[in-house]
Order: sequence, then C-alpha cells, then structure tokens
Amino acid sequence: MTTRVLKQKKVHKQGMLDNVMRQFDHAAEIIDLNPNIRKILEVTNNELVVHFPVRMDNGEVEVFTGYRVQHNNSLGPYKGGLRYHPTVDIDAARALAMWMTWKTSLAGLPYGGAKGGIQLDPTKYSNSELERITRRFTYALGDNIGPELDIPAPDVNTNAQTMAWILDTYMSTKSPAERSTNMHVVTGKPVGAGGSEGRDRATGYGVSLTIKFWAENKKIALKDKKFIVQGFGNVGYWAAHFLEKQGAVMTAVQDAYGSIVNESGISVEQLFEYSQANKGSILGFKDSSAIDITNFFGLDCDIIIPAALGNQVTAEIAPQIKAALIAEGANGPTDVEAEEILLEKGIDIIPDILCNSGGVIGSYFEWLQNRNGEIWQLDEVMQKLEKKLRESFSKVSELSEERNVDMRTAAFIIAIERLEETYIQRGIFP
Amino acid sequence: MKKYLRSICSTCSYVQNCSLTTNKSSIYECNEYVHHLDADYIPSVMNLIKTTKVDFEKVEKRELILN
Repeated sequence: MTTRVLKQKKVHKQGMLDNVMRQFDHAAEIIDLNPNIRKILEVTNNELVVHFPVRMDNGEVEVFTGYRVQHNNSLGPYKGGLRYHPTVDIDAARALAMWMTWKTSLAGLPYGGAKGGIQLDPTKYSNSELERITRRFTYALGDNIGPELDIPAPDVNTNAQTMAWILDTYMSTKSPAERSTNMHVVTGKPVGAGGSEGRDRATGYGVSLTIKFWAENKKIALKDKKFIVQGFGNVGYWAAHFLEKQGAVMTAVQDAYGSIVNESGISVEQLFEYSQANKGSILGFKDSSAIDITNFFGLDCDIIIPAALGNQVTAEIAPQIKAALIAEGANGPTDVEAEEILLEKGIDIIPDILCNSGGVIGSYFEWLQNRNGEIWQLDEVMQKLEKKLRESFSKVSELSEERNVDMRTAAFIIAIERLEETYIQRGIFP
Repeated sequence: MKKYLRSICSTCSYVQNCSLTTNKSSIYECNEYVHHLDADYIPSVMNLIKTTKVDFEKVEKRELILN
C-alpha cells in the first residue's frame, strides 16, 4: 500500500473527543500505524442527523433532532448506545462512537463503533411522549440501523424498555415473514423480549474477572485482600458481589449519597439489601462510619474499583493512593497526569477499555442468541464471558510485557493493530 | 442546571447533593446516573396483564357470544 499524507488543517477538538484522539494518537505513534489507515480511523464513516416531528400529549407538534454516528465497520456491524440528553450533539457522538470501535476491537468482537441519540431533556416529557419520540426516531433512522448493519443499545436515559420500543417499531416496518429475523436489531432488551440472561451483571462480573486474572498473573491470592468501590450501582455492586465470592473483603463504598467505611469488612449482600430498602442510599448501614469524600481513594486497601464516573483519580489524589491495583469499572476514571504518577509508583491499572468490556461482550451474546434462535442459560453466559475476557486480558498482559508499555497503551495497540490488519488484508475499494 | 450544560449531571436526580464529584461540569458517563425512565415508569404491558387478572373471574361467568 503506497501512502501520501496530505497536510490537514489542525482542528481543535474539545473534551471527550480530545481524550479519545490523544489515546489513539499515542498508540498509533508507538505502533507506527500506516498513515493511510490512520487517516481512515481518524474520521467517522457516516454521520446521520434526522429531524422528526412528534405529537405531544397536549396536541402540539414538536420537532426533535436525532443523531447516529457510525465510526467504523471494518470488523463488523456498527455497535453503540443511544442516549437521550440535552448534551447530545455530533461531537459527543463522534467521540463516543470512536471509543466503541476501540472497545469492540480489543474485545475481539465482530463489531465496529457507533453512538447516537436525541437532543432532549427527558424530564420534560411524559412516558407516552418518550415512547412516541423513540418510535418516530426509529422510523426516521429507517434502514440506517439493522441487525447486520448498526445495532443500538441502552445509554443515558434509555433502557431495556426503550430498546423494546425500537425493536417493535423496526420489526413493524418489515414484512411478516421477515419480522422475527430482526430481533437482534438492538441489544439490552428485556429478557422477555429477546434479552439475554446475565446481561445485567455482565459489566460488573467482567470487572471482577479482570481483577482475578491480574491476581493470577501476579501469583496473589485474592482471599482477605481489601477492596474499595466507588459507585454501588449495577457495575459496582456486581463487581463487589463476585469479588467477595473470591474471598476479598470490601472495606469502603462511595455512592452519590456519601461514603462509608469499615476496616473489618462490609457485607456486599447486606449493604445491597439495605440500600434497596433505603431509596438506594448506603448511608447509615450498620457497623460502618461515614468518611470525608476527599479521602476516599487514599484509604488503606489493596484494590480500588472506580465504578461510577470519569476523572476521579486526579494528580492531586494519586500520591495518596496506597492500593496495588486500580480496576477501572467506569469509563475514564483516571486522568493522564494521575496515571503517570501511579505508574511511577508501581501501581497497576486495568484500563477501562478492558476492565468494563464485559458489558459489550454480554451484548454480543444477546445478539448471537437472537441471530441463531438460541436461549442460553445464565451459567452458559457467564462461562462464555469468562473465556472471552480471559483471552482479551492475556493478550493485553502479554503485549504489555513484550513491548514494555502500560496496560492501557497495550490495549489500544491491540485494538488498533486488529483494525490495521483488516485494512491491510482487504485493501481499499476500488 | 444551566451551569452543567455540557454534563449529564444536568438531568440527574442526585445533582444537588451528589457526593461522588465536585466537578460536575463535563461528565459524559456515570454508572450512578438515575435514568429518567427507571424512576417512575410502569410498562403498559404490565398494566394490561393486571387489568386482565382482575376481570378474569367475571369473564368466566359470562356467556360466550359468537357473532
């Protein structure tokens, strides 16, 4: 393949897109990525903007703007979430779509990356209005999504119910004979509507698995190792649940309501039951005391699981960290400066792109089951998830040692090299 | 919530008292986010099933009329 690089105008990118591009550039430079392939991966394949009218409960008609950005599909159909939020715009969708391409590539899935949504404030609409908005958006997207083309999933303010509406609308536009062959147009559906067993715990289980693999590599027993969790939602709870099963002890938890600590251990199940009965709050749980938010990651422990949101481990906090491992259950919890400090201190980081990839692998299993007309039992799903994640973890770990790079860089290298290989083997049409 | 225009925190129920972060200006993903639909949504299918269950005994006693 011959290359000719055209000088491009430096485009100023902000926030999320800037972060994603920085990580991509870093890995691309290390592997000396083919400049032509770099040009392809730096831009999105398709960007769809749709304006569609919906009748509101009061009889008025409102026009909404929806987006779907399809970054790359060289490995398979586009895959990514749909969010309903005022912050949804083309730039945010681009960054998140690109992020999905790396994630699915690293996980070894036959998917590309996409993202989209509708720019709206969901709190201003009734549920029946949201249902009509979803159905009309699906109709507006038309054949730009599809089970073998682009497979949306839940994201901010969209859930299993939203996916069921999309599925029902999409299927209704097909001929009766074709309808049941389109079940896999979305993932994250309710189990009764084609969803998969175990999808709810896939991300958290994946986080616990990557910690288990890390411990095996280091020849460390997880029994009695202390871990702390930021976020006790779907990811944090399930990660803690499975780690506790391996003998580790949860000593502190932080959620939106506050932080609690008990050096002797907090029962994951009892805390979960307590929070369920306490409107989701962990505060006031027996045998635990509340602590100051600024000290949370500095607590004495072996493993930190930031499973809530981004930019939590900063350069100010990093020097206080005593743990041996940070397992990134959330996306982007460690900022660039903090990571340098942590690596310097010899603290390992299981990067988000690997650590929380159990979720997208779970989605892939749902898609496969629908596609093949199968229904897998929970234990089967969990077994397959472990196999898939072990494979990803081993690749990252081996490459990290082989090229003497940190695990995040290794993960990006694997993801990008897989895409590069595809382009080299297939060439560029015509 | 205008100050969080670039953040998903702007529509989260926890925004006023959230202890997870003091910088809520550019959050694009959060696993603790309360999804609007989850908070108060009861699927219409469930309502239908409930209605059917309540009326079931009465239906049994009714005569079946075929047109």
